[in-house]
Amino acid sequence: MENYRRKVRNRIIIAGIYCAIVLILTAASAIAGLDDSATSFGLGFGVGIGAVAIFFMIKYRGALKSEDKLKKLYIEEHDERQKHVNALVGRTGINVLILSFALAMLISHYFSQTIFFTLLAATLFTVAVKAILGSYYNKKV
Amino acid sequence: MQSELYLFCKVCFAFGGDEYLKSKIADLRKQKKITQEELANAVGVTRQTITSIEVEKYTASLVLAHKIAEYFDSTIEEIFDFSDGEEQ
Repeated sequence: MENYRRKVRNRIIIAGIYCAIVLILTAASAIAGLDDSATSFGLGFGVGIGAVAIFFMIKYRGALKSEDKLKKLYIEEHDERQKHVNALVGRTGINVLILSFALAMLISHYFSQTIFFTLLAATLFTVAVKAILGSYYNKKV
Repeated sequence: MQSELYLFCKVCFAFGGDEYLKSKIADLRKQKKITQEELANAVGVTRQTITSIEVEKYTASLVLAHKIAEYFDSTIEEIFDFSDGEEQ
């Protein structure tokens, strides 16, 4: 449990560093007067993730203060059924992506060649990722 | 046609068809008068995992089966029913 405690502490530090970077970038863009849509979108995205990071920082701090909460968090993260669910989601998700890309590719070729080739590249890339991961885990496990 | 579609979806989306072991965990729990939460905490899993094993939606790993058997001072074979698998 001591290793896990250290891991949680490190996560808080990383989240804190991220929030500090977002704060500095926001201040810098305000001082430099950057208010184009790309900068605003980037900062908004960064702040959104920062809000999620703060939520987890609060959750992890609470867990570090109480042994019971830390154990509960550890069980939640290491639960074997949850790992099984995650594996199923990954396996199903990649198949849904491949099928959706392939279907969209078939439809798009009637309208635009650019979209067709983009979707073809995305489909081939996803298939390649699936094949590479399959081969890697076949050797690893 | 419907069964072909089901088979296609099953292969593509990896759902259904999995067979899970029957277990006596619910009965043993009732005998010992302990809740799913207490058992889950004792063996280091979430309450949902115990529920899923009890309703045969998930089969425990060997390690978890061993922990559960140890908790009930029993053996894996006494808690989990392997008879369906032996018939195949």
